[in-house]
Amino acid sequence: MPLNRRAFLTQSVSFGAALAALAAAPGPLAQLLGDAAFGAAGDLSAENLRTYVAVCEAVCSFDGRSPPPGHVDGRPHPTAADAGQRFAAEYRAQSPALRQTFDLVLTLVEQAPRTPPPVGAASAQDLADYGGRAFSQLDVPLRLRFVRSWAADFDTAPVGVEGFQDVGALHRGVASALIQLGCFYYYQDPRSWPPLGYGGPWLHRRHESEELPFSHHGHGVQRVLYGGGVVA
Amino acid sequence: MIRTGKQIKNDVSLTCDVVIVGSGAGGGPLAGELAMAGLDVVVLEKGAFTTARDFTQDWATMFGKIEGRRGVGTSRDNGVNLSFAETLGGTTVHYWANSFATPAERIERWNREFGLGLDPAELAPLFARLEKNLSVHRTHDYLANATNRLMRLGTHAMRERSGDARYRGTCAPQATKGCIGCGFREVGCAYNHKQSQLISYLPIASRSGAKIFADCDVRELIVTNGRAVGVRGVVRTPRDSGPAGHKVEVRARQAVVVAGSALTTPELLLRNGLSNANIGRFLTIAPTLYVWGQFPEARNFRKGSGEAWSFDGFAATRRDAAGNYVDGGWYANPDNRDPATTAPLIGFAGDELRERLAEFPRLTAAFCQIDDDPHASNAVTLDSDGNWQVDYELQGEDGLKSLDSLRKVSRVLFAAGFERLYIPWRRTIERGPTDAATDANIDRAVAEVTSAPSDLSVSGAHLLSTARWGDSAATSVCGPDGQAHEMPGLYVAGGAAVPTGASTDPSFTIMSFSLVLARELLKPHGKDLVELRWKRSRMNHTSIVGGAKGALGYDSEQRRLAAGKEL
Repeated sequence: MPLNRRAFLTQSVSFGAALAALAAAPGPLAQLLGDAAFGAAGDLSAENLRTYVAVCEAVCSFDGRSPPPGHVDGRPHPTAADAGQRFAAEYRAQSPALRQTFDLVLTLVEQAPRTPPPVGAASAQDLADYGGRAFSQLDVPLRLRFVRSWAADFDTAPVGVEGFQDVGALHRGVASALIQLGCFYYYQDPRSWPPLGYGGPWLHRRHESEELPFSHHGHGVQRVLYGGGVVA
Repeated sequence: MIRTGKQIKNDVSLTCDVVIVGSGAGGGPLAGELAMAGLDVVVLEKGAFTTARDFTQDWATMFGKIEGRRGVGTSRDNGVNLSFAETLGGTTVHYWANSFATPAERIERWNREFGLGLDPAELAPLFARLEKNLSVHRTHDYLANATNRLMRLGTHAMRERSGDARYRGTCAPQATKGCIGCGFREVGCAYNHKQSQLISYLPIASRSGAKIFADCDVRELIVTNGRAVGVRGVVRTPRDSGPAGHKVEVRARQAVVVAGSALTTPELLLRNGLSNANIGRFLTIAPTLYVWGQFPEARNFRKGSGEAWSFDGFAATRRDAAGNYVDGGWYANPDNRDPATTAPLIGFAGDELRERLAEFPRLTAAFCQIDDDPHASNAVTLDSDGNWQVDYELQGEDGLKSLDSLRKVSRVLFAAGFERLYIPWRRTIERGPTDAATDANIDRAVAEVTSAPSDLSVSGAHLLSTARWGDSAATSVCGPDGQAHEMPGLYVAGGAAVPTGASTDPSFTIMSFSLVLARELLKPHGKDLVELRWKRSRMNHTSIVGGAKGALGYDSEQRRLAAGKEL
């Protein structure tokens, strides 16, 4: 039977934490699974917020080496910390079940670089390079390497073979979640749009200075056949 | 009347003819038609009452306002993003308003396999009625974004090159009035031009005497002597994390209709102990895959409707003489995305992502939707808290259909002039010096993709079939009249009722099922559907003032509606 997501994450968190404790690394099991790691009263914990910001700094890095800058072309630009605040607000608005899932994913990712393969690091070399550090303690290139190694942990099963019975598929799922969560709350900040050439919502634009998209006056519409094929 | 959670100051206890849980493509038309015919109707909607003034044209903000689980719902293994609306008007608030009648082949299949007894001659007037009431018409090029036109050009080129006549598409019939082509219809039409249920059948129902409650989370069926006679719920604001407030109890003399999504409908049935083994099973989602394209120059990829033209020539599955899959079984549409939704979906990270986004004015997407077969193990079940959870995998031919769609849509985009494509996951396809070289590049990239959803970045927005209609309790949950096999008085409408995937956008199919159900529920009263009985305005049924310049304004009637006052 393949593990379901929550069972996998729960087991992985326990496994990674136990190994980390054995290695005398920070984050013993009791602390990892205790209140310190999981938010109380619906708030994102400081630890998980730090992990989220670290994820965002990596997946939204402009150059792959440093966090996204605070200014672009002389204009203020969102930072990963700004995205963290948006994510924290979203976290508060979510249901307890989804908050728990966010907690598990972030806690797992935080511990995974110092957890041996196959559950944690994708390879022994990765584990050595991560140097026993947690995800948020890695520099940006290593964080990106971690996300990409999990995202690229493909099995080579042919089409039609179930893809969820190996750790690789779950690594990919978590990496996908990291990229999606990091990017979504970063690029929803309107300050990130002008450098990309995106004008934003139509409602907020000064229409008189824009090309009006279309005028519907003067154009007929063709009704579909069930209506009798008439042209209005 | 429409009441929001904040306006409900006391516990509510009502009796009516028909209570409907859900107000989307299933519940909206049903409520409107029944109320117009004179039945006493109550509608209970879990989502909020959002109107055009709430629609910010900002994808990220709107996900939190109108999407179920605030837009981050996934399958249990995180492999599939699940998109469904949770707002008054349901999915019709966030759909592109595509209104395709059910393909004849699919109706034949449902009659053959599920004994639905649907007569195309009887369905045709129902589709015509919906088209009239929702102002459905084919979308002109001038209202479509550039991706639509380029994909159409690409199919023409591929048809000439390959000689395969299935490289063709259809101008989509869409439910709009006076659309200005702003391109943000998918996150709620801020101009009230899209004829969602929010401004079409629900106001009709309200004016005809129906009572509509938003923010009402129905958790319990009231059953007496084995018959469903009502529902109980709680008012909850905000809808996901708000505390349970006042209680709402509605008793129905004739019928309890569950018309939620294909996720929430089985959730309610299972939570109340219904035992039909098919509840929640056979979920189809029309798995959606993206192909991103980089065009040589900036085009009008953001203004104008996405999905105005549908590449549907391969909708039918082709098999060889032995019955083995050859190709087809999918359709594809042009899309329209902002940075907040492009960045997560395109699959890159870090500097690679930034390089892709630097191409944003030249970057657009097409998405392929797979006509997935219903499999019993693709199912909605309850988690330990009694909330829905989904297990979904691409099975059987669905993976092959996915890969076929990636290959053919990639060919169409290159034929349209795109110079580089991105397919899941982080795979880049470059145009070759010749067509043959380009095709080889496509085939090589697609061959690396496995069928696991996490490899394909699959999402699902057309969720169907989890409480399907059919003539046998062994294969379905409800009879051909929509009534549950195991519980008289309980009916199912909405996406859950549709027996399989619809092989096209299912919105109109869902609405037509509701009209079939409405006729069934009117029969005991000696009634049938009645014509719309008030003058329709130029813009829409509720006389909302809008215009080509985007000027917004509600007339007094709409303001009263928004305030929850009786009209």
